This record gives sequence, C-alpha cells and structure tokens, in this order.
Amino acid sequence: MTETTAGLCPACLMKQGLASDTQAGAVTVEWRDTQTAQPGCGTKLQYFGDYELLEEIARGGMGVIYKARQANLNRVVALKMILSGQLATEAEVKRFYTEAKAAANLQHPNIVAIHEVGEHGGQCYFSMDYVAGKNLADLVGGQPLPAQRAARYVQIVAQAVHFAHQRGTLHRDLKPQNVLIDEHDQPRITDFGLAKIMDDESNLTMSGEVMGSPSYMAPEQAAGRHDQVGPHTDVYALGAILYELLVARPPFKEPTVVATMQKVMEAEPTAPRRFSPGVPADVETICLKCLEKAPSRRYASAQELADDLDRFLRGEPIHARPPGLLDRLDRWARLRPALAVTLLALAAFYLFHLVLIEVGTEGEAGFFHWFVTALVATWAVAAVAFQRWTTHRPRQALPIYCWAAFEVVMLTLFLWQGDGPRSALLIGYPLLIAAAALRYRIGLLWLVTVLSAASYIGLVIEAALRRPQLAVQLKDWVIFALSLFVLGFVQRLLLRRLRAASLSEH
Amino acid sequence: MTASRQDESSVRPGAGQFATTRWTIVLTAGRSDTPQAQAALGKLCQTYWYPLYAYVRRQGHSREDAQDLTQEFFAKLIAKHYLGDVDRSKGKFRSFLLASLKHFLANEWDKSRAQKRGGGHTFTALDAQTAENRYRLEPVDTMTADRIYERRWALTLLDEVLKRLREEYAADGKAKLFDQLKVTLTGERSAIPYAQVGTQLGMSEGAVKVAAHRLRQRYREALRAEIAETVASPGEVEGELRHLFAVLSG
Repeated sequence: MTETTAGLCPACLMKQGLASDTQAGAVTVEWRDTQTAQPGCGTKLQYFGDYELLEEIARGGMGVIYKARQANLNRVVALKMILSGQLATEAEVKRFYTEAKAAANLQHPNIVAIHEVGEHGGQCYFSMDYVAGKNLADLVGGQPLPAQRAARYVQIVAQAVHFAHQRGTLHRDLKPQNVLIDEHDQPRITDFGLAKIMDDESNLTMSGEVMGSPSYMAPEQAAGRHDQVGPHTDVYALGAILYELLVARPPFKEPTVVATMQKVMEAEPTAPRRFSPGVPADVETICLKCLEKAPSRRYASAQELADDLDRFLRGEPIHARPPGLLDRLDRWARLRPALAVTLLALAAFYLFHLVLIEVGTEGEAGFFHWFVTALVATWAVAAVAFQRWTTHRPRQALPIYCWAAFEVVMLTLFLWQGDGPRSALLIGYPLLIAAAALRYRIGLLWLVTVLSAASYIGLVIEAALRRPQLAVQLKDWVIFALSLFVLGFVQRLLLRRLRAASLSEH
Repeated sequence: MTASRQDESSVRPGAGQFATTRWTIVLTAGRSDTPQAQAALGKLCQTYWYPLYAYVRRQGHSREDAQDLTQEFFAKLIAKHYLGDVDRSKGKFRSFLLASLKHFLANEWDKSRAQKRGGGHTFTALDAQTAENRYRLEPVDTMTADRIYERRWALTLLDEVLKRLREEYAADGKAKLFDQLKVTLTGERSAIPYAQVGTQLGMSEGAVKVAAHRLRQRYREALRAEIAETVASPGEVEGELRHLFAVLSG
C-alpha cells in the first residue's frame, strides 16, 4: 500500500462506502483482521523455533536464507525459509520437501549437508551447514581467475555433481552463486533448490515451467524441453561456471531474461580466449565442449568433464578436440545465413565466370571481366558490412531494407553490362524475391518485388534503345514482369500463413 | 444488458458517471479491439495489475516468471477476444480478470513460454522492482491465492480512491485538510480533535466538522464511482461493496 492508505483500517474504509448519509461516521466496525496495510513492517523476527536468527544471508526465488544459531546444539547453521506463503499449494509443499529430501540424501564433502527439515508456525524450513566464505560469483567479482585455479574448482565441483547424478539427483540450477568456497579453499555446492529426483514419478516440474538462472541455463532448459533435461544439463552449467571463472562474465548475458534465454538457445558463446588470450587452449576446448547446444556433443557425464580437467591440470593431453574447420564454418554460417548464402552464391558464379573466360566462351579477359570482378568484390565486401550493420541493429528494418535494395541494384548492374534482358541470370530477380521472404517482412518483400520488376523493365528499355540485338518482344517481357509480381504475391501468402500458424500456437 | 443500459441512462444524479464506466464501455463493445474499449481496458489493467501479480506469485511462480507472465497476460488480454466469454449481464471486471488469468495460466502460458518470445509486449508498464518489494511485505500466512487476489483487489481499489480524492483536495489547495481529516473516513470521528485541527488550519471547529462531513460524502461517491468502473451495471455496486467489505474483514 502507498502512504495514502497507510494507517487507515481498510475494512472501515470500505464500510464507510456502505453507510448512508445520516449514519455516516457513526458506524463502528467490528474489525478483527490484524493484517493491516503494512504487515510485519518494522517487526524483526529474532527467533524461529529453536533457531536464533543472526543475519539474512541471501534471498532467492523461493526462499530466504539466514545465518542462525541452533540453540540446543549451539551450532551455527544456514537456515532456509520459504518466502511469504510460497508453499500455499500442496504442490509447493511437495516441491519443498523434494528439494530437502534430494539434498539430505547427498553426503559428500563438496556438497553442503542438510541437517534438519521441518515446519514451524506454518513455515517450512531446513537447516544446513553454514559455510563461512565467498561464493564463486563473489570470488570472481569482475576479475578472471587463473585458469589452473578455475579448472581445479570446476573439476572438484564436477566430481560432486557426478556423485549426485549417480544417486538420481540433478542439480538443474548450478551457477557461481551456488558454489561456496570454504575456509580450506574447497568448493561446496549448495541450494539444491531446483533439484529433481530423476525417478520421482510425481514430477513437479513437468508442466514446462522454465526454472533456473538463464545465464547458466542449458539450451534444453531455456526451451522448456524437460524431456531432454539430464546429467548433460548440469554439464552445460558447469561449463558456464568455468567460462565465468575464466573471463569474469557468463557465456550469455542480456538485459532481459527472455533475451538471455534466446541467446542461450541460438547464439554461440564467444571463445574465452577472445576476452583473455592468456586462457590455455585446452581449457577453452573443454569449456566450449560443455557449452555445446546439442547435449550429445557435450561430455557424456560430469565425471568425464572432471577427468578431462584433471588431465589438463596434470599437463596431459585432454580428450576433447577443438571443433574442426568444417564445424566452425558450419557454425559461422548458421549464425549468419544471409551472408553465408550471398558469399557462397557469389563465389560459385564467379568461379563459373572464370571457367568461361578460361575456355574462351566469354571472349578475352577485357573490360567485362574486370567489371565482373570489381562488382563481385564490391558485393562481397558490402554484404559483410551489411551483416555487421544488421547485427548491431538486430530489430531495425533499415539495414535489412538497404541490404535487399543493394542486392537488386548489383544484379541489375551486372545484367546491364552483360546480356541485359536476354541473360539467363535474370533468374536472380525471382531468387532475390524468394530470399526476401526469409526475413518475414511483407514490406521488404514488396520492396524487392517492385524494385526487381522496375529494374527488369529498365533493362528492357535500355536494350530496346541501345542494343537492338538484345531487345525482347513485348509479350515476353510482360510475362516475366508479371511473373515477378505473382511470385511476390505467392510469397506474401506464404508469410501470412506462417504468421497465422505461429499466432495460433500462442 | 439492454435493460441495464437503460438503467444506466436513468441513474440518479451524483452517480451520473455510471452511465459510461470503463467496464461498461468494454462490455458494450463486446470486444477489446475498438479504440475506446482498448483505452478503457488499458486504464483498468493499469490500476488493477498488482492483485494479479500477487496472485501469480502466491501460485508459486518465481519473481521473473511472475513479471513476464503478468506482462504477457495483459498483452494477450488486450490483443485477444477474451471478452466473448464474459457473461454480459453479471460480469464484474474483478471476476473476469481472475477467470481470464486462470484460463491463461492453464492453457496458454505453457505454450507461449515454450515459444521464443521476442519483441516483448510492454502494454502495462509494470514496475517490477516495486511489485516485488510490495509482494515481500505480504503477510506470511495461509491465505489462498484467490483470497490474496481479492484482498489485494480491495486494497488497490481503496488506494486508488484515496489517491484520487487526495489529488482532488490538493488541486483545491486543501491537501493538508485531507491529510488531517482522512482518519474520519474510518468512522472514528471521536478520534479527531476538531478544535485542534481547526487551529492548525486556521478554521473554526464548526467549519472543520462540515469539511469532515463533506469529505465523507465525497469519499462515498468516489468509492462507489470507482467500483462502478469495474461492474456491468449500477445495481451491482452495492453488492460488490459488501463483497469487498467481507473480503477485508474476513
């Protein structure tokens, strides 16, 4: 509530509306609700059952963690309580106990131990080891760790995660904040807050809920594909942690949750060595293998990851192989399909052009050859520049419109120097119209269609006036120009249908 | 609906604004894509989004999810023809909003979140941080999500009325008077030392009493007008008031 109602009893205020003019103000209201507009403000909880609350350590999506002293055992523990009525539904209570149960089963030196699970005054809680020290996120704090140290932490954590996997528990929310470094410089995993018992039939998270922190979330989690979540999901998160330790930033971080999730699903992480060249190539290879989009390309288990990191630490050759040239090309092309197709097409046509020159069909390597070479080079360089422009302005229409218009102009220039309206390369116009539809913009589609038709008619007129040997008959060029419009129209129908389909899925 | 619309044109004076309340505009249009209906629905959503947020959070959704979800729900509500399902004769905006949200949670949220969500609808400018801070002040209790929704609804409505009333008084340069006298709205008349308030504001005790009486009268009008914005006919205002009173005192 804002200050305007502060201090006023809300039920009395509502009652006032019921009162008639004559009795206004004389009404006394039986008001027994003690939850006023500012519940609990200013009152600090000091004791909780057997626990004396010392300080609040952290707050997460579901719970708040206190440092607390357990009075009867006189030991300091971390007490996790569930925030305001989070467990309102039975499913929530169940999830809480699942969480605690999963963690309590895991007795491992690198996993924070659970002591007690219970309920006090209607509030569910559990207590666990209190680990004095920083978590990995604090430890990084904007400064990369030396690769050896980073690898050592992740290697230990990966072993502990594998231990949990063998007992049927996935963590599903591994992130630097969930790895504490104790006083012996040993990492300990905490907050199995989203742990899922793999063989638990009453799966609470089957409904496609997206859980976890998006920056460290595996693509299959971000996509809500829970059928695909498994040990490799934690392997991905371990890779994301290693990445952050190496370069002091997570693999993907965007201003909004949704944007981050989109990057997680679609973009390739920037190689750590591009940020800090000092990172050993082997660690980078290991890290990027964990961050592969396809689970089958990651390490098959956390133990395999731990083993490879161990090899690196001992100076032995690692098993992971950096992606080959073809892999990298493939990845590069998938991120920039328009540029890749443009360059590939230019290369193919130019090669063919060179062959023709060689066998002499095109005559001598005179002006036309140099014109084509210059044109292809300009086209290629401009395509790279347009790609950069669109990458920097991802949602803007202008770069895309300019790019498309530019391609029509380049094709027309080529035809103008070549066989004009008689060239077989006129097929380039329908190709550009078809490609424009791939941008899912109806406006762009029309722009390319109209520009193509206009350019074609321009070529026809130019031929009729200056190169009568290339002139085409009226009926031929009308048919071609009309076909361009029909193609544009068909593509537009296709786009509309796609849009309708994607809307109905919503 | 026809009958109730006729009622609206003949309601007593002082309730003249009932004839074209926001919710009746939306209902009359029967759809959300006319500009008037969009504006009316938009204003209603702007005012009453917090109860929905509290509901969603109480259902156990994380903070980020609750923000995304509330945002997307409003976008869908405005964009889609949800309104076809409203029983026009007795549809209250409060019930409609909750029913739509439940429908959305059950049928659409899962699907839509599996999709890539680009673009980002920003229909209602939710202040996410404020929402979360407010939510953390919610009592830790056993209230169900439905109850917390209704309670938050009632409090939001009161908040809105008092806010508007204070603005009204402030526009006349009487903000101090309002602040001093607002406690009389709770019925605790004796709690106010009229003479003392008079001295502070340079008014006679009698004038303060009259002002307090007027404030109560104006408050009742404003409260009923605000409720009228959310129901389909003026005849429902009384019932809604009683219901909200029960919600707050239960």
